[in-house]
Amino acid sequence: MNVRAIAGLVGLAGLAGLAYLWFCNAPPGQVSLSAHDAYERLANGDLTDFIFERQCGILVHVKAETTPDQSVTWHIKSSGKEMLSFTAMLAPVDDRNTKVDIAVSLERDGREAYDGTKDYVRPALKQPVRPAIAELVAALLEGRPFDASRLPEDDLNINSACDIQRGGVEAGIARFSINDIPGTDSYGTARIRAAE
Amino acid sequence: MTRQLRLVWALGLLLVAVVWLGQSAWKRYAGQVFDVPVGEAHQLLEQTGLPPEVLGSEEHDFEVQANDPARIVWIVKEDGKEAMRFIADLSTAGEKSTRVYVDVAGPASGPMSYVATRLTEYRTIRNLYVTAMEEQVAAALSHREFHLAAVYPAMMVAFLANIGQLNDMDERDSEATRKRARDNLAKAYRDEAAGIGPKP
Repeated sequence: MNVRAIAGLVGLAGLAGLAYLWFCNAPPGQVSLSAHDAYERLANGDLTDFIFERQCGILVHVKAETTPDQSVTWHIKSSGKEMLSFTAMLAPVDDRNTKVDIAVSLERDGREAYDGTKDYVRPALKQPVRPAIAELVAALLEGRPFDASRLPEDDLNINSACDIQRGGVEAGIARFSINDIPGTDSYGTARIRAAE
Repeated sequence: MTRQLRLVWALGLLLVAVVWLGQSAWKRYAGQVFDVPVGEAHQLLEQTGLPPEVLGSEEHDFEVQANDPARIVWIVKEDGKEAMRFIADLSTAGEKSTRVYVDVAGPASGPMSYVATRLTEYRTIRNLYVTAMEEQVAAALSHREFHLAAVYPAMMVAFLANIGQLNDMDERDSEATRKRARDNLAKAYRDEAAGIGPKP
């Protein structure tokens, strides 16, 4: 086989690969799964890594609310109070493909919660939360771990309270809850309230 | 033309490296000679501290042993225990000159005796420490500031020779930090589930 023939074969293989990528990969916002399979993966998904990567020091709990084959809503709660929620909505494109849309709960100003523009006294998750939710949903649908390195850099000043809180808890020197007196952690709040 | 320039650059760099290696080897073999009588050199070195930066940015505890008129020993301590020692051997090199040989050694016994093995294994790091102490001695006996630039080549060689180890160490550190963070967070959740809250 001469060099020209080998080069021709390599070229054909490359073109075939490109064609596969172009035609067989699901378009953005879609996943190559049936609505039922996509739902199963989301409803049974584990959010531990997502919470660890995005938490802000106050302890949060996830409660999933499901509508079979249609949507999964995750409620993020802390000390019994809902902090935010987000939903993955599924719409079948055909038997093997499903469109996935994400919605995040809205704040009183009509904007999405934790969109990177708002200050929270006791933040629950790092901002902006939407890209992290998109990565979470993609990871669950692809059956892989949540990968924080896929997220854009988010060194927002808006996260400084979050960083302080999570730093204290991760170092094992502080605890925070939404019921703490502003400016103190749970230990400080307990001391102040005991002195009152 | 560009190719010729590159060749000249490469040859220049090679020449600098060869000259530096030759100088270092000669200094190590013959010692450094200073225009200071042995007694005065001994006095000056007795009051000299450790070389800056090469042992890390933190201040290290150390003790100077100067009982032997021909030797000064700096004992570097870690948590009160001997971690390493710098040794300067002094001898007469003429009426008013002193020859100084510098060496570094790990403790022969004790909890940090592994340092001696490491210094044998990591020769480029050992060379870095000796080079730094040689410069510290030269600065003290020449009444000048310590020139960190004199240590750069040895620092670069040590860095390049140990880059793999440094990367592994960095990864181990960040892995350990992540594990500690996860453990502390998990404990906070366990305490919350058990109703254990912060107490005043």
